[in-house]
Amino acid sequence: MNYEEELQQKIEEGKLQELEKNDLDVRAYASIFKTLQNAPQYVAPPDLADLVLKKLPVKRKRSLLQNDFFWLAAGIAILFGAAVFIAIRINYVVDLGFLNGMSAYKGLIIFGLGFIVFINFLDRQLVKNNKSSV
Amino acid sequence: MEDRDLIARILDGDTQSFKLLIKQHERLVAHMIGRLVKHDGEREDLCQDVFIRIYEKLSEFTFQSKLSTWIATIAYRYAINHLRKKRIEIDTMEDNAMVLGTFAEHENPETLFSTQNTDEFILKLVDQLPPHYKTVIMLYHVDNLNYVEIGEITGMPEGTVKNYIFRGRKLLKEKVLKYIGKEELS
Repeated sequence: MNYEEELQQKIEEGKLQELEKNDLDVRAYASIFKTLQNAPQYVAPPDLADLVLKKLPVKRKRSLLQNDFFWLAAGIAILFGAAVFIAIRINYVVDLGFLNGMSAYKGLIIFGLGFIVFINFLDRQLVKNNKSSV
Repeated sequence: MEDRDLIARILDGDTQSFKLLIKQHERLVAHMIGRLVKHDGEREDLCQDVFIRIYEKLSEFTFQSKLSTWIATIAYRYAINHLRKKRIEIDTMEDNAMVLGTFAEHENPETLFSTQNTDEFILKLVDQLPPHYKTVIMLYHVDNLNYVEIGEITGMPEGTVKNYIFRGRKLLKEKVLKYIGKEELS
């Protein structure tokens, strides 16, 4: 045990009388030990227990919701996995069916979709105008 | 009421028993949080969060240690994680020599001497110690925990706890001798 360790141990054990009281190290350590023993501490608010109890139901509700989301996600994943498994088992081949025949009319399809969007746009504008005139 | 009875009641859904547990341990949790986290608002929120975590984890408590030690462990980890999230530097065993070097070299006598007396000066020095040093010193001196209990709470080996306490106190002494005149030492 070195000098510093011995000093700390003796002061901790209250054996100050065995040490040289005028020694600066001894006095510094004694001061530190005394201060630490009386160190002020952060005190929790008096209503801490009530605040915690108030938070508990919210927390419980949130964790129940998280549970629900977990099971929903798990269900979707299992369903998807089962679909893939079955598709592999029965050698399912993706067939676009009638869409294959429609690929020859790309221009017509694009025009049709654009026309529907345009009609909807016009419709909205007219409805707006009519509403404002009423 | 015995800890086992208290826990059994809480697990049965008795909120009044949980309130009792909070009352019994709020001082310890406040100390753990208070000495690592500086901001008062954050301290309050963290104290509440720690008890909610305790409530959630209570079924996992196996009585391998004292209930108070287990609660202090949760509070300590919570505070350390909070510091990490806030990117506040926490020294590890590998770099503690460097951190302590910074503490030893750090000289800001103006702020230190603005304190009224030796006690305040020493407490300011303690506050400037790296978090792990400060925690073990305070757990030992203020909460009167032994090396084994402090080791359980902080996850440090007993030897490291002893070493941190010894080196922390030595650093404090060196600073005290450097800045306080002989006359002011009691």
